[in-house]
Amino acid sequence: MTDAAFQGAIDAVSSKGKLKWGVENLYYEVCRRKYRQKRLPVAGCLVVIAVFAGIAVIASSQRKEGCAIPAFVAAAAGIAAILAVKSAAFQRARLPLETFNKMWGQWVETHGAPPGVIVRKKSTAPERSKESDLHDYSFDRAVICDRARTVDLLLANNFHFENNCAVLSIEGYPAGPFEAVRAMLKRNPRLEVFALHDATPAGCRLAFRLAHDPAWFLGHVPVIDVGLRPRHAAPFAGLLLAAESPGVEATQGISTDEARWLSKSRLELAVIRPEQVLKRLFLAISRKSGDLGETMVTGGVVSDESSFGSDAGTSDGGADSFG
Amino acid sequence: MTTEMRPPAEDPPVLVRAEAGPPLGIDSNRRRPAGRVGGVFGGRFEEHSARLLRALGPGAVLATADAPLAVDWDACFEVDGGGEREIRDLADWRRVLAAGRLASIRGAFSLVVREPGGAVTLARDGIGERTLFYAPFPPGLVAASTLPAILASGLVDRRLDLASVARYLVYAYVPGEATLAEGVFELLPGEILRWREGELTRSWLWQLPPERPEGEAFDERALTRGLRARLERAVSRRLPLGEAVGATLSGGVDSSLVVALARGFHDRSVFTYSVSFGEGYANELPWSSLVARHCGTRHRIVEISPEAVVRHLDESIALLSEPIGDPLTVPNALLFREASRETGVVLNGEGGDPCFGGPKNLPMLLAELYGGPNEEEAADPLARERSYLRAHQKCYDDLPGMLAEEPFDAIAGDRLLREIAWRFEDPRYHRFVSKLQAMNVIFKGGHHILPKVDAESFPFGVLPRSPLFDRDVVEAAFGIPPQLKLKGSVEKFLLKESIRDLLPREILDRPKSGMLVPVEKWFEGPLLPIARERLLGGLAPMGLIRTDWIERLLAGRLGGARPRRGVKIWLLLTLEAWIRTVFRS
Repeated sequence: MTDAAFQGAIDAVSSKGKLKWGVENLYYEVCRRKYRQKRLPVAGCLVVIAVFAGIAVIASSQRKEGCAIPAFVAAAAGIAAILAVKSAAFQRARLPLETFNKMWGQWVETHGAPPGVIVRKKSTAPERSKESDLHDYSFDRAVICDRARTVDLLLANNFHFENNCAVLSIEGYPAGPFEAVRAMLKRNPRLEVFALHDATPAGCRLAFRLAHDPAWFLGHVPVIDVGLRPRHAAPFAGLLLAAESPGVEATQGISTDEARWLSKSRLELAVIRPEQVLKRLFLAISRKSGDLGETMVTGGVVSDESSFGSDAGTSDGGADSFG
Repeated sequence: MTTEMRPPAEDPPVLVRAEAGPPLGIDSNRRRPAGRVGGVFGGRFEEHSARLLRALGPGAVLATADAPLAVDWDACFEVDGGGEREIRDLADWRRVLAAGRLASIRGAFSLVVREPGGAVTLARDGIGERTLFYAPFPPGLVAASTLPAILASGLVDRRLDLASVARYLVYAYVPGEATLAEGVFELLPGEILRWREGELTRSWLWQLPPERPEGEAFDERALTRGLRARLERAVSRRLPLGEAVGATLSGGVDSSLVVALARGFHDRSVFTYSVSFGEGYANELPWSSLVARHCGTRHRIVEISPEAVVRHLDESIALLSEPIGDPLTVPNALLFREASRETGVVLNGEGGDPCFGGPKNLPMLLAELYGGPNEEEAADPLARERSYLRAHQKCYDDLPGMLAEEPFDAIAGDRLLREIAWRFEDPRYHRFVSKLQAMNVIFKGGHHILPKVDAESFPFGVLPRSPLFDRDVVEAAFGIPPQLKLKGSVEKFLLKESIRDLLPREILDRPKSGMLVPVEKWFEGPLLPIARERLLGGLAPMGLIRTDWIERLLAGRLGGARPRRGVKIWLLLTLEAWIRTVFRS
């Protein structure tokens, strides 16, 4: 991959330097671009052949000669083009991780680390003095993630700050404020909780676990599952990982169909560009509760299928309040 | 006071279309009892004084050697132990000043006193409902209620203060004593400034109260009753004797409780006014109508079209002494215009959020709890200040890309952060939230809301009154223990408890929502042409904002997750209009 192309990938994940991003986002962006690079030339050649053959067909028919041969060539070229695009050779193939790591290492050595890349803080204790009066308060909403790196993405882009939203991972990250923030959440009987996760067995069980754990939200408030789940995977063909273990059971919030999918594949949230993650999450938290309907409530978990669906419009949320 | 409401008025809500019309105030037959004030001191400057007087508008008074006291005031009371006495005329003011009892005055005022020896005293009320600007010029001093008047006097060179341009872009108003004009300063709320032969000395007639001591026992019921008593007193002080009163009503708790109290105490009609932006735009009308019905007011829905906004934009902005980027400036002016046909006093619910702990604080708490995940951010000594500026959700993060070279240099060295750093170390407040509350009241009150309603109502002779910014209400607010400000998730808990009997439960329980001015839609549609014209043709050539940034803003190419395009376009539109109509006229 050329330097210019790599920089282009960095520009894409960072929205031209406006957002912070993780190396994992860059990995998937590079995968996407390699696929585009491979596909275009070959498909282009086949299209050219088909066009010439088509012209030949028209020319032959006008001269009232037999057009069987040119027609056959055109049809064959067309079918070959379709088959080729769909064939394994042209499926979006992920770059092997070691290959990407080498590219990344070389880039950092030559150009230095790009300014927006998220580097996790080493210390876990809070840097600031503890303000005792903070704990009397609570927040309007919380986003709970399966992975620390998703938490990092949201915090680095000030999602918590801009949306009056606590952000935590189910595993206790970030360690410093974790206990204090979780305790503060319990103080709000109208808290809105959103689960954001990879399409993995652990991720797909996240909302269920949160809704059934007394340390989290059992008996408190419903948990809205925003994604990613297997149903969100369609636009990401070629960027799936293999499942880590084949025998996934349909338990703890995972349906039979989902269990089948999860036994074969995994999809990481990092496939989605940071700007899209932030916009769609904002969409999800802005939905009026009525939009989700009564039908999707099962044991404390509510499903938001569309915020991360491929047809979701991305808006800023309409009219702005001021002040 | 009983909690029974008077029987509801018979008339249903009236829809009033605020049309684009003649210049604001030109057909108004109302005049405020007290007009603007000012003076030129340190020598005989008759020509300049005359210009100053003309620019201050009808009813203005200058302090001179012959008439040394000039006061712009409204709804003032001298509070003395258990009782209070209304200030009725200049004689009352002279008595108060002679007795050294200025600190006991509640209400809106700014005053200019010229002492026999030639020294001058300027004073501004503790909350900032009125204001004063001043500019030393060798050998003298010019002071006035409005900044345009100071510029009109001709005693000050017109030079734009570039750091204040940046301040405006961050806050959407200009906080502190700096103004957009170099060499012209604003008195701070509660400040007394004494000028004597070129020397300035400052003191305070009142400052925000300290916080409640940590761990002090409190009685929730007593606090609730005490707050209720102060709210009732605050509204009563502001009801006009023998006349109808008006009130803006958004349907939120704050304006609703003011309306309910007004209706309970007043023996004349209460007119309520709510804003609508027309069909197709979100509104809070069902809530405000609910309150109007419940309280039995004569309700008007003032419909404001984009055309009316465009028509009156320049005039509304020209009334301001400093630009205010709140898109409610023009709607406020139009609302005051409509209200002036029926009443000379309009109450509002402003002050409830900064005083009683609205949602503004919570982002700061989150920033405080989390710090930043990156190493550099964790080591940033000005991180809190940075979060505070970011919390205003205007242009803080845009400044490096947006400002032209000169204004960017004017704020180098984190100047905007350093100038507020002391507030986070304010020794009067130990708790973080108390510090935020103090900052919010000072900034939002004295530099944004109060100047805005004062300026936009003035041409119509209407008096805006803000009971929730009453000094005694503010004192009560600072005495509330944190556990009663936000209980569970209920914001403004104690405030709501204190007036629970007055309002329907739906109003008390509804989640907070802001006043929605549809700037995003306006600038995707009807107002985009004027935005392009004024930002590219008017603002860009001023050399303050980079043209390429303006183009990206207009094209929606600023990027990021929440670009807030509409808000920022409005902010710049106001800046352009203000510089053109006030600064360069």
